[in-house]
Amino acid sequence: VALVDCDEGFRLMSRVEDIAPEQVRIGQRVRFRVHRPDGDEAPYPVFAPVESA
Amino acid sequence: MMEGLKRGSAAIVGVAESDLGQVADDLSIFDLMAQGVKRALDDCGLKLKDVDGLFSATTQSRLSVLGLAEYLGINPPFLGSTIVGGSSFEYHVAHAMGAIALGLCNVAVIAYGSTQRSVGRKQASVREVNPYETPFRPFLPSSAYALAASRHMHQFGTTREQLAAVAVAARDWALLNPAAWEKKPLTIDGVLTSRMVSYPFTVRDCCLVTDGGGAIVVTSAERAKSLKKPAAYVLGCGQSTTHANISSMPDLTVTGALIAGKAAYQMAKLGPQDVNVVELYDAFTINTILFLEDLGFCKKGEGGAFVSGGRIAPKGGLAVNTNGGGLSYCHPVMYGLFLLIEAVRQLRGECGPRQVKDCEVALAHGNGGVLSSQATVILGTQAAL
Repeated sequence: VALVDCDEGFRLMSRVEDIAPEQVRIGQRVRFRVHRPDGDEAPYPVFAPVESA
Repeated sequence: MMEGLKRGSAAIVGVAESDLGQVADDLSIFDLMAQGVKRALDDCGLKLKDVDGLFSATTQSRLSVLGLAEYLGINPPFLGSTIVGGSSFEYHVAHAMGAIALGLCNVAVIAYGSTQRSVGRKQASVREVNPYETPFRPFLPSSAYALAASRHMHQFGTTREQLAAVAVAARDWALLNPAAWEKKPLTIDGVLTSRMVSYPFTVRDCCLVTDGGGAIVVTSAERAKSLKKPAAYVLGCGQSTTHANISSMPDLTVTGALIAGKAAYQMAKLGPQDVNVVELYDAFTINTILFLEDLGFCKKGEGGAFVSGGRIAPKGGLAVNTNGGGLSYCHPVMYGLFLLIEAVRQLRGECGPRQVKDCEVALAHGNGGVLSSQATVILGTQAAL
């Protein structure tokens, strides 16, 4: 679980994917994407590291 | 702020715990509250028929104050059920003080009970769905406090060892308290190598899961004079709520204790340097660090260094959480009432081997939700009035 500050000026609870949890760093640049769970659960926002950061 | 409240106009005159830890099978929250009420009234020499104000808060009953009044067989004209999590009881003290000043009641009893350990954590506190948090499955409340701790570590260089020092100090105090749940010594290394719950917290950075309850009796300063034991006068009160959910906390490293504390100090005409004993709601080890900073015992960001080297342990420079705290003494979901009970006992000099010398001013600071609702109560002896 992470709190992500968006450039647009708001904060979201979310998850950082494509990276081991212990590799996630505070201050790391991440990019938004939509996660679509199986079944009836609604889509929700997750984030993945930005390569250049 | 609490500008309508007059410093020292009310006092806590009776305090008691109910059974703690793992209580007998089938005891209800009302059994525990009533045990507390009976014992707290006996503690000050008042009777049930004197009670005309009744306060309670619990996660296990929607209309708890009605259930308690029915159980006790009384019909008090003034009721209070503010529920803002573990700090509810610090709010109740301010509300009782106001009600007493207005003549709405004269003897207020504030009660709590929880059978969390007996019935299970899930049963004791139902989690609500929040569309902005629930999909990410935070392990609440631990994840929320862990986010605050991670941020504090990032921003100020606070270490896991410094967090662990809080747990070790709490345990050292608990070993001096016969009522404490934990009976074995704990080391920094013991904290660090325990089971990880939510990084950076191991299970030893997290509060206990126990049953327990209790009650306190609040009355006017005038009536307090004729009662059994020395009164603990309410010198200052302050409250602040900054958010409900952790994703809406304005700054993860600054809590509402900053505003609550300032208001309480202002009303009490005292500052942190005047406080002899500090009882802080330590749901997690980061709480103690955050509250010591926000209540002015050290600068923001220096809490980790402040708690190191046994500073807040017995024989340290500042007596903090002298009963062993939520980390090692008892933590039945909402712990706020126990802060007040211990603060009063310290002011009376009743604490045996853990007694703080020359204790005239005590600060109790309650925390509710996920660092959400903060409430400070400053108490003092007759000499501090």
